[in-house]
Order: sequence, then structure tokens, then C-alpha cells
Amino acid sequence: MSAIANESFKEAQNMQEEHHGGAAKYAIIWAALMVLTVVTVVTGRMHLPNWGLALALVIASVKGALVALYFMHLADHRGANRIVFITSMVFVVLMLLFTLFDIGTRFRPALAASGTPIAWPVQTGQSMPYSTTGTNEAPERRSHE
Amino acid sequence: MQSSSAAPAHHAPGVPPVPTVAAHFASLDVQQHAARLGMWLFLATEILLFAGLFVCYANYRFMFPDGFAAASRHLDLTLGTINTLVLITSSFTAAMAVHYAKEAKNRQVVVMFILTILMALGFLVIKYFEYSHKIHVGQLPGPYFTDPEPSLQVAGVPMYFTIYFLSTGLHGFHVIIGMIVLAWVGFKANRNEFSARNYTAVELGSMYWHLVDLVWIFLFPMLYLI
Repeated sequence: MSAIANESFKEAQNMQEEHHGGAAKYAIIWAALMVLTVVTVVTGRMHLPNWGLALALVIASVKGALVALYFMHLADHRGANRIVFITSMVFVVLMLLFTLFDIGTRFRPALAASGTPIAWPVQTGQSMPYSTTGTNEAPERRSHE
Repeated sequence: MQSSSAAPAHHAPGVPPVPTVAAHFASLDVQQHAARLGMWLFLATEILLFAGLFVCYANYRFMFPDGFAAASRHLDLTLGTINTLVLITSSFTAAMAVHYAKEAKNRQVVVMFILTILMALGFLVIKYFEYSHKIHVGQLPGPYFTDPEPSLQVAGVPMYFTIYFLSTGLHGFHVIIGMIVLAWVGFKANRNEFSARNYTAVELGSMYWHLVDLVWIFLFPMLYLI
């Protein structure tokens, strides 16, 4: 038996006690997902002013976690499978946060210390063919039919 | 160590075949572990593919919160909710298929996959009605947006519909691929191929379907509930 094969055997033993709760567990998760869907629709309908989106995202994350952990058996698995999934999630969050940081802060350093943009989004003349409500001085270079 | 490499088609009916172990794997367990890890890596790339659209959505929603809210009100929440419930239920039947495959109940695996595919079809039919309504009233991406509805004359509305069609379109494409994958695995189950020793194809096919469900779980509140 080669060294590689021995390594593989070790892995095989590590995942040996991987067991399955069976149909009842799936049914419970399914019921929880249905209930959470109804909850998110009801709270979404209320159009909560400040934390509506945050609540919807929290509910979606809980639902996603239930699917990944129990339907996709991540709860049973050890090691590499979890690392791959968690790493991809980390990179999604990084990509989301850093582009939002960019959009959220892009023009502010160009302003004087006391200056704040009159209207947000700031009119740049670059990629926003819409007239925004504010009165920024930036000339409209492009009009869109 | 190596098991015989009998082609699955040649086995006697009613007897699950002995799964083939490739020469570079120490055991069947290790081979199945590698297959599952490969599937997770593929699903990670899928997650990042959809994440690109999520990032687009987040940025444009940040720029045009009013336009996105106004456009979102014009989606049919009832149809969207029904579709969410249909997709979650289809995910449940796909999970049940894995459960039955482990117990070598190939008949039930076939039934569960047929149910899953039927619900996927239902999802697409509902999506077709939503799309045809949008196309009819002119709620289309970017420059093709022609809806004269006064509440939709807000900056960002055409951008919202761009992202709506791109993300639901890409998701719908994944639904179709998932249906094909599940039909293929269902055919294998119909040939009585799966047992506690070999259910990798059922498990990985179902994982793909759960990912389709997972993506919709996030698309639904993003598009319908803002």
C-alpha cells in the first residue's frame, strides 16, 4: 500500500461515523423552511422602514443554513467540505462589503471637510443617465432617450 | 482492494451492482469522499457566480433605493411566494431521495425524483406567467423598459428589471440543468443501481438541486420583499 493510499485510509476513518437521522429530520427541516417563508413574507409585506431588509436577510440566512446543514448534509461532514463552503461564503461577503465600501465612500474624500453632497447618489456624469432629484453642479454629459 | 469493474448495465435485475473503485482510490469510502468534495468545490464556484449578481444588486440598490422599492412593488408576491414554497418542497423530496437511496429503495428514489422534477416544472410554468406579464407591460431591462406606469418613472427602475431578469434568468437556467441531472440520476435509480454502498450520484444530484433552492431563498426576499 502506497503512502497516498494510507493517507486516504486515514480520511476514510475520519468520516466513518457519518450517520443519517432519516426521513423525520428532513420533514422537520422542510416544515421549518415553510414556516420561515411565511414569516418572511408577512414581515416583508409590512415594509418595515429601517431593519426590514436586515430581517429578511437574517431569515434567508437561517433558511440557507438549514438547507446547507441538513439537506446538503454539511452537519454530518467534517473537514474539507465545510472549509470549502465556509470559504466561499467568506469570499461572497468580502466581495459584497468591499464594493459597497467603494460605492458608499467614493466621492466623499473629494469634498471639503464641512461639505456633504446635497443629494445622494452624487451625479457624476459617468454612468448614471438618470436625473436625480438633487442639484449637484456636475454637468450632465449624457442624456438618455 | 480493487473491486471488479462490471458495467452497471450488465448486473442482474433486483441486485444493486458492486460500485467500481478507481485505481487511485484506497477504498470506496475515500472515492465517495473525493466525489463529494469535488461537488462542494463546484458548488462554491456556483455560489460565487451568483454572488456577482448579488453584488450588482446591492450596489444599485444602494444608489437607487426608491427606484428598487417602487419596482419591487410591481412583482407578483403571491406567485413568488408559491414558487418559494414549491422549490423548498422539491428540495425536501430531493433530500428524501438520498434517504431512500441509502436504504436501496430505488423505486422510491424514482418517485421522489419524479415529484422533484414535476415541482421544478411547476416553478418554471409560474415563472413563465410572471415573465410574460412583465414583457407584456414593458417592464424590461435597461433601454427596453417601456412601462408608462407613473409610479415606475423613478431613477433605478430599469436597472432593477435588468437585475431581476439576469438573476431569475440565470436561476431558471440552473433549474433546467437541475431537472436534467435529476432525470438522469432517476434513470439510474430505475435500473436499480443505488444502495447503501453506492448512492453518490443521488447525493450529488440532490446537492445541486439544494443549491438551486439555496440561491432562490436569497433571491426571493431581495427581489420580492423590499
